[in-house]
Amino acid sequence: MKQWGRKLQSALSQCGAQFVIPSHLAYNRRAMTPPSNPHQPTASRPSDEGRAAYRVVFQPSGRQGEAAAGSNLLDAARSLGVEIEAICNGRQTCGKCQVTVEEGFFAKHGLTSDAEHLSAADGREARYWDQHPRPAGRRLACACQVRGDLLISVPAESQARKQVVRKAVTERAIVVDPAIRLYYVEIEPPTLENQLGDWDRLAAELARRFGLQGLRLDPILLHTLQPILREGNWKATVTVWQDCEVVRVQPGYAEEAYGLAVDIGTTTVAMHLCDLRTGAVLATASRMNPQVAYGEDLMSRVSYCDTREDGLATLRGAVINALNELAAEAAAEAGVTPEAISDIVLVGNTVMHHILLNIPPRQLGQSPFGPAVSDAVDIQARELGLRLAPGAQAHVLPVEAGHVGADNVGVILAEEPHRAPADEIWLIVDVGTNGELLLGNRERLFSASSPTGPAFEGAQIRHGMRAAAGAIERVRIDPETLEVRFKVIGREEWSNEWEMGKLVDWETGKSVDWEADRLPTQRTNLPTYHPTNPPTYQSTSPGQKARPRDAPILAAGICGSGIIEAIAELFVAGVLTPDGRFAAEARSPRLSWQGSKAEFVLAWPHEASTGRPIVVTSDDVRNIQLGKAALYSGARLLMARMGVDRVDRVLLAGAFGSYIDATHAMILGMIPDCDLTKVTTVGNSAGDGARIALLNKQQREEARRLARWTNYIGVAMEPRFQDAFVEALPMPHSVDAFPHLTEILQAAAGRRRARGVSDTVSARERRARLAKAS
Amino acid sequence: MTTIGMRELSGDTVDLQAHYEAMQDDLYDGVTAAVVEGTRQALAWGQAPVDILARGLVAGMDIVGKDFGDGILFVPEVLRAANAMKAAMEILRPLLTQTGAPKAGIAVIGTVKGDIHDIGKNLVAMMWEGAGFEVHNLGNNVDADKFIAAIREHHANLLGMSALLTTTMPYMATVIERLHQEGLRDHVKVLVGGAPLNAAFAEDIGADRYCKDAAEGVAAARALIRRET
Repeated sequence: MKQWGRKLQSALSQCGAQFVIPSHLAYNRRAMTPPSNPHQPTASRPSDEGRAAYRVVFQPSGRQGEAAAGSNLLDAARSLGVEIEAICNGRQTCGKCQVTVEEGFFAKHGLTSDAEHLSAADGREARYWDQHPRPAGRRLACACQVRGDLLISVPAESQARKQVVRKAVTERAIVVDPAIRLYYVEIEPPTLENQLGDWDRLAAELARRFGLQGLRLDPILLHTLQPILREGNWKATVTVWQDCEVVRVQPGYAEEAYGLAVDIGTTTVAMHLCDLRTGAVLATASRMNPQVAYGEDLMSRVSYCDTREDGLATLRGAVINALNELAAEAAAEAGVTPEAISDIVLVGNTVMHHILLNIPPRQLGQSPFGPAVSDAVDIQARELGLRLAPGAQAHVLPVEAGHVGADNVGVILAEEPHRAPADEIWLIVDVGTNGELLLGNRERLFSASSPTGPAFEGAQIRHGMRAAAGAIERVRIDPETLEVRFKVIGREEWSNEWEMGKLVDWETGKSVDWEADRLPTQRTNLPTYHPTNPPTYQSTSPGQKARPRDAPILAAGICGSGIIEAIAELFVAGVLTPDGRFAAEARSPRLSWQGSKAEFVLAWPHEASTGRPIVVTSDDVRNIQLGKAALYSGARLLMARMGVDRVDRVLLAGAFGSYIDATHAMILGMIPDCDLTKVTTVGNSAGDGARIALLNKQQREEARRLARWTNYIGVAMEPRFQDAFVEALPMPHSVDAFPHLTEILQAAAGRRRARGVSDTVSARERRARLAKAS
Repeated sequence: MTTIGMRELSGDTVDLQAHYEAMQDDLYDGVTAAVVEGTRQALAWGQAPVDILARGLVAGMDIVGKDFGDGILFVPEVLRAANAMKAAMEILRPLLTQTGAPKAGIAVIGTVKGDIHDIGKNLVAMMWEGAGFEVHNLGNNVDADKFIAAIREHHANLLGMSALLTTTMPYMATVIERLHQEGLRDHVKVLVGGAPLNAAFAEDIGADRYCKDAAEGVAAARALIRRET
């Protein structure tokens, strides 16, 4: 054994395998049972004849170890941590545990593998192959005894933990190993002599066949247990959660298992319906969180629960209702019934988390913002009010702190900053009303919550709106002419390619020539827009309705990504100063002044669904400055905690984060300087994290560990917070350098100089301005 | 700095108005050393501390406050100016106490219990100081007892409360209720502010005024205290 251990180690170091199981730990008692017939095995080499144990290597996992001569191949695989599908558990009937013996001498592993090194296929296995096509070298692992060294390939369809690729910018494999498992059993029907209860006989059989001792039964299943067992002619497939609780019983043989991964956001609820055997996403459904009707931001939801007797019940009912409808929608799309969904994993910020679990969120609304529970919560789905399989289980990921919730734990699971190399610093920014930050690497991870305010979601912005059809989401401003082109959500082409002339009046059916009717002919001759006296672009015939038939989407407002781009572009064009003022020296028909405050037109009335110009105002700029300074200073304080002054990777997470352009965000100073190619958007990471936890039960434990391991920092209480915040208000920052933006920033400064714009306000200029005005 | 030096040479024919205007400019530009020097110079010329405060510092901060309200200056510039003012006040405060000079008012200010946001509140505190108020900034997460004790201790006639969360702003009503109970409500004017508030809320809870920003906070404090005296 010792000698083999050494050989094994050297073989492993050669092939670079990740996994070493010490031989004394590698086997369970069953696999270590002395060989039933030690003199029979065919050895790969003459000298090997009659050995007590043989080497077995499993591909593609690379896991390997020793198996006692005569031991069962399926048992050997399991004892090595190689999970092979086996619903019938060794009865040689389900055919799920198919493996292939690779033949030949494998230098990498130092062994000769041969089909003869397994006991012959006979009995039930032979009958199985008579009825099913048999690829070369295929065996049913449960029917084989080990009689020599082996290299075994486990085909994808037999792997109990399948590798799937996550649909995201950062593709990575999720090992499919869900919390629920299916077990097929056949039990004896009751007789006049044997009157043991149906469940008891089922439990006894599960214990006998699968070693599932002390299983609990969700009592609700008793309501239908007897008809199900009879319908299946005493054959049934039992769904077991975490090997401890029976959550579903189906008649006969079944292999379908479905689960839901849910992200409850403040504004959006999204879910994935997954096949728990393959890990595939079968359907995705999302909608606005109906709680929005009771309050836009988190604190107003907390207030609603706090000040109304039925507040919590109302908000909880609203979101549960949405979840049930979404589940039905997703199930219908996937062609399954909601009753077939037996597992659900949910993430959300702490307020969503508390409301979901019927916990009054009051404490989250005031310092010190303590949550009721930090650890993960397992609860019956029906207790939450969810209508899935009657015994379905719900798992809610843990939370990190009062304002860093299960959604952030989901982000960690999905983006794995805790696996970042020790010499790299990752910064993950989840932009929302409450910005959440993660900073660190495999050695340490810090998290913080940053009160960015709702400006990035379009609130507190004159023409701000949510990311919906018609929202300006992209903005480009020519730095010389200050001409604007933009893109709205729901329309592919940029605004400068919009064909205005092809519109048709919806009442008369006549084509409306917008250029001739509604606009001065030359764009460049557009009048200066005065907010006090906006030009009205009336149709030439007063009675004509302005709504055209098949009206293309026009600009309705500006969403978060749009306002970020607009302000960054104005800064680059030299129209905005670093301290956030509109430069009085800039000349453009789009720029107008009301006293000392300015407005810049992004969309002219004819480009807007409101028929009124869509503008960026001085106050909008100030509000964005406040929000971005909160994010930046939060990141900076975490960097100070970690003792670093640079970040190597920035991930912009969150549904909104996916639409932020990295360059514009950095120009604004939302995020610290970083190689722009290392700034990526990662989509709805929180939802991906929920999916990972749904598909892999170990990841649920990992999430619990990570939630405790991550250091939460209350940045607002850091003594330097105010200074860091104030320093971060200018664009991109008053002190910190942005070497990766050198060219852009120099060009912007050059344009300001060319326009005669002074970067700071001084008393002298102020006096000059006043003198000029009077 | 140089302009002040020149005036120094001119002896008796000091143009005080020009000196105070230069101090105001230095304050506007946030040049602490110059503001401190200007204050010392004026004292050396025998100017009364109360005049230096009013004509140099308070007048300067008024300009800063106005331009902040107009969106020309932003938080960093106002804080710089306020810090310069603070440094000058270190010199003037003991002299003002000695001479028993009248104050614009005595203010107690804090962010209410449960809330830890205080940058905006600090801005108001500094602007009030700039306007000549004696300001006692109690910080954040301040409960009613602490407000009451501070009002009693300092004989305050102005109370400022800030809240940035919809969940914490109702506590302002609790504090006002306590003022009534303690018989202090008639002695202090109550000003409230913070992002989720509005004038209607201020009225509902029985505050004297809602202020949307620091500039408004100064104007309101002055108006209310003036009306009182």
